Parts: sequence; structure tokens; C-alpha cells
Amino acid sequence: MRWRPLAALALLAGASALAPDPAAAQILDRSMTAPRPFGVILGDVFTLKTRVDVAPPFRLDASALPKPGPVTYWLDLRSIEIREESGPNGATRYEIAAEYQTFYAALEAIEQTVPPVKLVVTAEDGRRAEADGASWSFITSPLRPIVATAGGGSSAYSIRPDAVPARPSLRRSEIAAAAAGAAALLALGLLAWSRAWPPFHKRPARPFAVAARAVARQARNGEAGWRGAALSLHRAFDAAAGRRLLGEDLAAFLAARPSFARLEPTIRDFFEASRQAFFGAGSTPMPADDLLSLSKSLASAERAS
Amino acid sequence: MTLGLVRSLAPAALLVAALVWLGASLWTLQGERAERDVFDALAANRNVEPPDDASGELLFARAHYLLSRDRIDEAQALVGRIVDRGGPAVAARFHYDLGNARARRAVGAVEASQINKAIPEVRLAKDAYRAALRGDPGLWDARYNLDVVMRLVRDFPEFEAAEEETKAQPKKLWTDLPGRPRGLP
Repeated sequence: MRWRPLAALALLAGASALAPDPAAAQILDRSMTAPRPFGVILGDVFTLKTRVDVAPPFRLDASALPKPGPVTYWLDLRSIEIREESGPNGATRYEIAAEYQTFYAALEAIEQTVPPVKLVVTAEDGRRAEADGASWSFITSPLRPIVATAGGGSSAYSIRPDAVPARPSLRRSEIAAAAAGAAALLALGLLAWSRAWPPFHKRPARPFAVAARAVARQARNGEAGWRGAALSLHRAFDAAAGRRLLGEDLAAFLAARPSFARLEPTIRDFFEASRQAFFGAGSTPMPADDLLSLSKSLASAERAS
Repeated sequence: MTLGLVRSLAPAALLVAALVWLGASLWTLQGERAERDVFDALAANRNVEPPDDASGELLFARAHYLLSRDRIDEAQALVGRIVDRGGPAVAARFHYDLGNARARRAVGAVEASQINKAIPEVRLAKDAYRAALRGDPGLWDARYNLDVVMRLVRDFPEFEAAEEETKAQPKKLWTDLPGRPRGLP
């Protein structure tokens, strides 16, 4: 971690180039943190962090820093990151984190040096100054002895075996498919329960759904069918009210069930029609289609209540 | 009213959502099962081409099949797709296997005393191992094998410098040809 004296070159045009180092004022402070400088082997990754304080009108020129790629024949720069924050005395503090990877295949423990990073600062008016960052030396060690130990001869060139592809596992997808299947079954059950489909068709809370099916079966089968359908619908009203429901009780029944209020005129028509059919002249004043649509509307209103 | 509508429609909407999920997961499962069939065929030493939309891992399995049979050129045609789809970890293992295939060729050439054939193979093996270590520094086998091939042909800074020079002047093709004056004796 030796720093060269602040011999930053002032490249101010001509005249001041030979003046004794006015550029030292632009780069106020430099320091570097590095990992342990020994026990580094082939393929290791290490990060060198350089901290630079730059005096105000000047800024660090990021484009002058080295780009990721090979630095020397044995060293790669993997990535370089710059963080900027405000430093002491109004200076701008830059933290440069350079990640290197060494490919030096040592035969014996030997010292190697990472070349310094060139720091260039520029000002808006075109002034410019350069300085070298720190170089870092470390001791790199071999992976294997020089003389092949066991076996001799051909084993000197024996390499580690191939990386074998891993057999893909279907477990995750199987679990997801099973969960989706279970969710679909559950949703189907909920729907059947909500609409009183089998096996929930005996549900007491859905008398109109049961009645709607009975009406759909019977209503179009002439006079007798109409009567049967009407009776089924009456039984549904009875079940919903909890007692025999007559035309006179409708107001109280509907007041307790706001979701049926929309259907009130049709319901009254139905009660009137059924009174006519069962106790009156014997005609069927309400067409079978109307009866069918009323029963469906009632079943739907029942689900919504 | 709104609450009633929700209570009436929610079960149906839930069912539709669950069915969509079921369909999507079955589709995924089907795709993965087809992919594993190709994988198993490769592992059973059958020469199967992976489909165009194969995953990086399956492409690596195909490359492994080719590399273990010394069909390096065919395997190298897969490198772009492996890097794109498999990410750095799978690409690192591919490069490692590629390096091993090159190293086997190099050792074979050395043992047959064909040093001139061995040198370029060693160089390519080194490049492959370095690419593997760049992608995954934790691939220790790549470090070991890189060390082995480095012992075959070492890197030297002088060679690098000389190479860069020749790269910089590729146009001087004819200057070294021995000239012979024509015409007058």
C-alpha cells in the first residue's frame, strides 16, 4: 500500500505544466483497503477499494477508469463500481470498488502486483489532472506440487472429471399441479354448494334452487305440469318463510328479504295466478315461460341473499 | 346488492381462476416431462437433438454428450444458447467441460509427441477454463485443471507482448518472402 508522492501531472495548457505540482491540490486524499495479501491462489476473486477526495470544481472522470476485461495476461478486472458522496471540507468523496480475479498459476509462492488504477479528474472549464492509484502486491501460492506425487508419469496430466448435468426434477411442477387440481376441486365444490347442485341439492337453505329445477322439469307439460310446478314453487316459498305462505303474507315475507324486492310484482302475479288456477276458473293465466323465468330469478336472488 | 352479487358470482369466478391455474401448471409439467425424456435419452447414450426451446440445463446435457465424444465443434455451436438460457452457473460448467475436452485432446497429442498440435489445444483449454472461472469462481475443478494445462504450456508475458505486436501489424504479409531479382542476371 505504498503511495507514490502526489506527482499528479498538471496538464494545464503549456505554461503551468512545468510549475511545481499545483494539481496536487485537486486530489486531496487517497487511501485503499485490500484483503489479506497472502494465501491467494489461482481463480481467486478479490476487491480493492480506493477512496479519493476531490476538491470542488473538479470531478472524477469515470470514463478514464479501466473497463472490465483482462488487465494483464494473468489478471482480469471483473467489475468496477464508483460510489459518490460528499466528503470533508466540501470535497467530493469517491469510493471505487474494483473486483479482480487472478489466473496466475504459481509454481512456488511468489509475489505479484496488481497495477495501479489511473485517476483522472476534470473541471468544467477543461482543466485536467491525473494521479495513479495504489498498486497492491500479494503472495500467490500453487495448488499442486511441482513434481507429480502419486503414480508418476501419466498422472501428471490427469485432470478432474467432467461436470455432469443434473437430472431435472419435476417435483416442483408436480406439487404445483396437484395444488391447482385441489383448488379446482374445492372451487367446484363451493360452486355446487352455492347453487345447491348435487350432492348439495337437498340443502334446506336453497329451496328456490330445488324448485327451479322442478319447475324446469314440469312447467311445459300442459295443465297438470303447470300445477305441479306451481306447487313446487309454493313449497319453496313455504320452506323459505318457515310456514305456509299465502298471498296476504307476502308483504311481510318480502320486507324480511330485500333481495327478493326486485321481483315483487312478478311474485304477486304468480300468487294471483295460482289462486286462479287452483281455486278459480281453472285457466292458467301465467304462461309457463314466465313461471320458468320467475323460478330462475328467485333461485338467483336466493344465492345473492 | 353489490355484496349479494359478489356472493352469487364469487364461486363461479373462483372456479374459473382455479381451472386456469390448473391448465397452466399442467402445461408446465408436460413441458418439463418432455424435457426430462430428452435428458434421460442423452444419459442413456442415445443421440437425441434437444428441441428449439430447450432450457439451458438440457442444452448443457446435450453439450456434455457431445464433448464426452470429442465432438467439440458441434458442442461449441450451442454456447450462445447455453449462456442466454442457463445463466452464468450452467455456462461455467459448459466451459469447464469444453476445457476438459480440449485438455484431453492436448494430452493425447503430447503423448503422441505431436507438440505442434498440442499447443493450440492447450491455449483453447485455458481460455475455456478461464471462462468457467469467470462465470463461477467456486468451480474448484476448473482451477485444478487450469493449473494442470498451465504446466503443459505456460503463459508468459513475453509471448503475450509478441502476440499483440503481430496482431497490431496484420498487413505485413509479404515482407518476409525472399525476393529474387528478375530480368537482368
